[in-house]
Amino acid sequence: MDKPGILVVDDDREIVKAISINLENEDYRVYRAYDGLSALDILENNSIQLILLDIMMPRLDGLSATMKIREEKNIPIIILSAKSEDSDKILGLSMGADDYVTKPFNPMELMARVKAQLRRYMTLGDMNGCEKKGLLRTGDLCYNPETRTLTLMGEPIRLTPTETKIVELLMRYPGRVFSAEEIYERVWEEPAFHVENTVMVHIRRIREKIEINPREPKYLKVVWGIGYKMEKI
Amino acid sequence: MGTKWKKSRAFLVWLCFFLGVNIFLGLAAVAISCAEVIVNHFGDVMAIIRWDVKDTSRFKEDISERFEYLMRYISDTGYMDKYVFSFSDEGENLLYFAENLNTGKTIGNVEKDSVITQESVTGPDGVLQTWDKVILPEGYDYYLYYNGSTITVQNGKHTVDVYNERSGYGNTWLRGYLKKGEKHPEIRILLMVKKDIVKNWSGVSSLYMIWQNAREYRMICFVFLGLAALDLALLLIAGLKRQSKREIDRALARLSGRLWFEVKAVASLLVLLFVYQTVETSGFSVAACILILCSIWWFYIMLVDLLANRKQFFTHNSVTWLVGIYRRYESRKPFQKALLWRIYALVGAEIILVFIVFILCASGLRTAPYAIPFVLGGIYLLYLYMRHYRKTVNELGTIVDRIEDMKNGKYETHASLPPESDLSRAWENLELIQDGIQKAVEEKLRSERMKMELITNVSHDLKTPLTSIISYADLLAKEEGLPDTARDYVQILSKKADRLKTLIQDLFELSRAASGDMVLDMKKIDLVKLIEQTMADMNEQIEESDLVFRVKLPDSPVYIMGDGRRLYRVFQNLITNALKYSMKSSRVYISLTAGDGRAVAEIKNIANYEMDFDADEIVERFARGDKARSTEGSGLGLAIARSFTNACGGKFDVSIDGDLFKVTLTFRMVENAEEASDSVRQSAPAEEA
Repeated sequence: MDKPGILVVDDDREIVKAISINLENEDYRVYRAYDGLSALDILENNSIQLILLDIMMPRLDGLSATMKIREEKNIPIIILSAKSEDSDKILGLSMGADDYVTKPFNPMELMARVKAQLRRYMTLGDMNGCEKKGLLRTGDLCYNPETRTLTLMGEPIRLTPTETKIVELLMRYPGRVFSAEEIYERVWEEPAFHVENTVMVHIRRIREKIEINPREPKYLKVVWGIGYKMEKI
Repeated sequence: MGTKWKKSRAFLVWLCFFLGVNIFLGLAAVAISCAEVIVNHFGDVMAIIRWDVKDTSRFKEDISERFEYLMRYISDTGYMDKYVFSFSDEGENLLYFAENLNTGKTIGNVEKDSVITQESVTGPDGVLQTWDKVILPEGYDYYLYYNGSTITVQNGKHTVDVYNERSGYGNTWLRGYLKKGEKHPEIRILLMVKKDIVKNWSGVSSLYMIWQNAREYRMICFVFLGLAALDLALLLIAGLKRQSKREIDRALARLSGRLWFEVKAVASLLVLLFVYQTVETSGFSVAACILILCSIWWFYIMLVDLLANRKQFFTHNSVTWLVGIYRRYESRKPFQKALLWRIYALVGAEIILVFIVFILCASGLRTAPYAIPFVLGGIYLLYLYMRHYRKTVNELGTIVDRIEDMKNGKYETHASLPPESDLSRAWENLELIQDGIQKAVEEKLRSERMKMELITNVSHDLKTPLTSIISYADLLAKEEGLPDTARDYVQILSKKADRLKTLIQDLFELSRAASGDMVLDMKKIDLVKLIEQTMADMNEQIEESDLVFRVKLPDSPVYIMGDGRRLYRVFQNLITNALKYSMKSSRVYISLTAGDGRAVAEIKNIANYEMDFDADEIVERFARGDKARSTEGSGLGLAIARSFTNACGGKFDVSIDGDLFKVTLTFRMVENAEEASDSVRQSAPAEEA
């Protein structure tokens, strides 16, 4: 298969250049655009598998461009924006973007997100066999209770037995909030006694394994003042 | 021009009213005094008005009398010559004829044949009926004819049924001849009267006098009726245009309102007395009537005055006038002096009044009654003072309430003081002060908001170049073959860029929180759990430090309403702060107590430097404990913590006691709906190492 084509759109040329260098290092075909209209133009004439899109741009802003692109294509769109409000993120994602990265971003994290989106797009359809019955799934995470294995976009994640138990408990009820005591009693099968620290340590370790940016988790979240939950995606 | 016309029109309307009432009263007086006559002679009055003189009782009596004279004369039952011969005084007004068929005696000034003819008709039963028919000569319209058995009277075109009781002939001399059976078959009498009775130049015509009198009465009737109609019209005009009338009434009320109540009362008494005396001495003479009318108008003015000025009718008096003069004098004094002066003035006035009353009473029974007005005046003065005192107290209350409201931040008010109040100056000043404060507060809010907007925009604009800096620093770090020094420099660049990133993010969040348009996700959360989670989350840093954390949390959950993520940031910042600025190997105390509907969290640590600043100062943005901004962090930690705490409805207090640095967070607890966790928790140091 050909190298995936990625379109980087931002009115700041230096940022486009920096991202391009990073992408080229990862061996992608990179196209550059500095405004919304030319981005649409390039998209029309080239085979492109992913778009990195700034919001505030001259000649068609990122949100409008996203809507235009979504009219005919469903390639992954990652929005890059200096707007960091929750409402901005919700707006961008509801317009059809697949991910929202706030500026200033960590280049490594951006690369990880690009890879994740690409992998998801390229293997779309069979979804690493997670459609099978009896498998627990949320987003790109897939847990098989029989084999007790967790995969993230098809790639197996190595977990300790305790972590596996925690993941199984949370994956069985995605979206439900478990308190530390509840998790401890279900997983360790012992009465809970000042367990917040213990549970938190494990949660943090699982996060480091499954999240692109553990400080801004996508799946395993702390609900402050209440407990922990696996996000239902 | 318009107003002038309007005014004169109002005056005209009022004049209508005035005349209407006067005429009405006059007519009413006349009507009442003549009521008996009119009722008894109603038929005559109507006859005169109809101008049917021959239907009046006077005429009927006269003609009946003449009939009696003729009857007696012709039947020789009395000496009547003198009377009958006086008929000639009537001249052409009266034509008469009488004859006695037995004696052949006749008298009259008219030929029998020229005025009486025989008429006969054959009835349906075939019997021939004959009767005398009177033919009235030209210019005559009345006759009374006696044909020996019946009396026929013709007045104008209709025949009068004299036998009917209502004809009016029953009360006259004719009464006897109207009875059935009382017949004088041999007598024929005829009396005819001229249509328009004229003056007889050769004698005194009593018929003419009747005619003249009737004419006068008729005149009087017409004048009366005319006046009544005029009066009705006048009153109608006044009634229809009562708005205009009221203008004059008001003007009158204004005029009379200027008089003191005492003057009006005394004048009214005098008017009553005068009228009474006049009527007593001279009865209802014209002068008395005019006087009564005047007194009626005086009381009308009083009534109008009372209706228009209401309470003022009584309150405008010599006492209030004196008080007014005094108050004008007093108003030039400052409020507190005026209040004192008022008491002095009252006491002084009362003493004078008591003195006067005492003298009047002491000098005998005769003068004692004159003390009554002074006693009343004294009481009235006291009443005035009390009323005014109450008003002043109320106004003071209003001002005190207002100040209280202003203290509580409530600036709008519906209350106000009347401009004539003693305290209106104070009130106005208060308003001015409040306006000033409000303006200052608004100004401050505006500038605060502008500052926040600026920060938001700037932090926004800073992010774009920072993205490049971070990206290229990263690229540079990946570059191979860099000398070690350069690699060090790149390291520093990345580190500082990261710090800048934190700073910008903190600044941004703080500005959002402070400007109040931060979107919060308020939920019921357990503060105990939140602190435990935060501690667990920061476990690594806590363990790395050489500090000992003493954590004392309640056994049962403490529920508050708050945004979990923001409150996590609050505790994270506070713990970070403690980690950064605590003295080596000292203890950090974290406690949470619940009670009285409040949850109070405290974080105490011993500073590793001398805190030579205010507790307030430290929380201000960019303030840093050591004032040297060298270490990492944005310096916004406490400011963010406070902003977030406030945004979640909590209170954030910092206190400094020597080297002890204490932050107290107070939240309002919510109902503890859920069962308290049954797991037993004890206070234990967080670090388990």
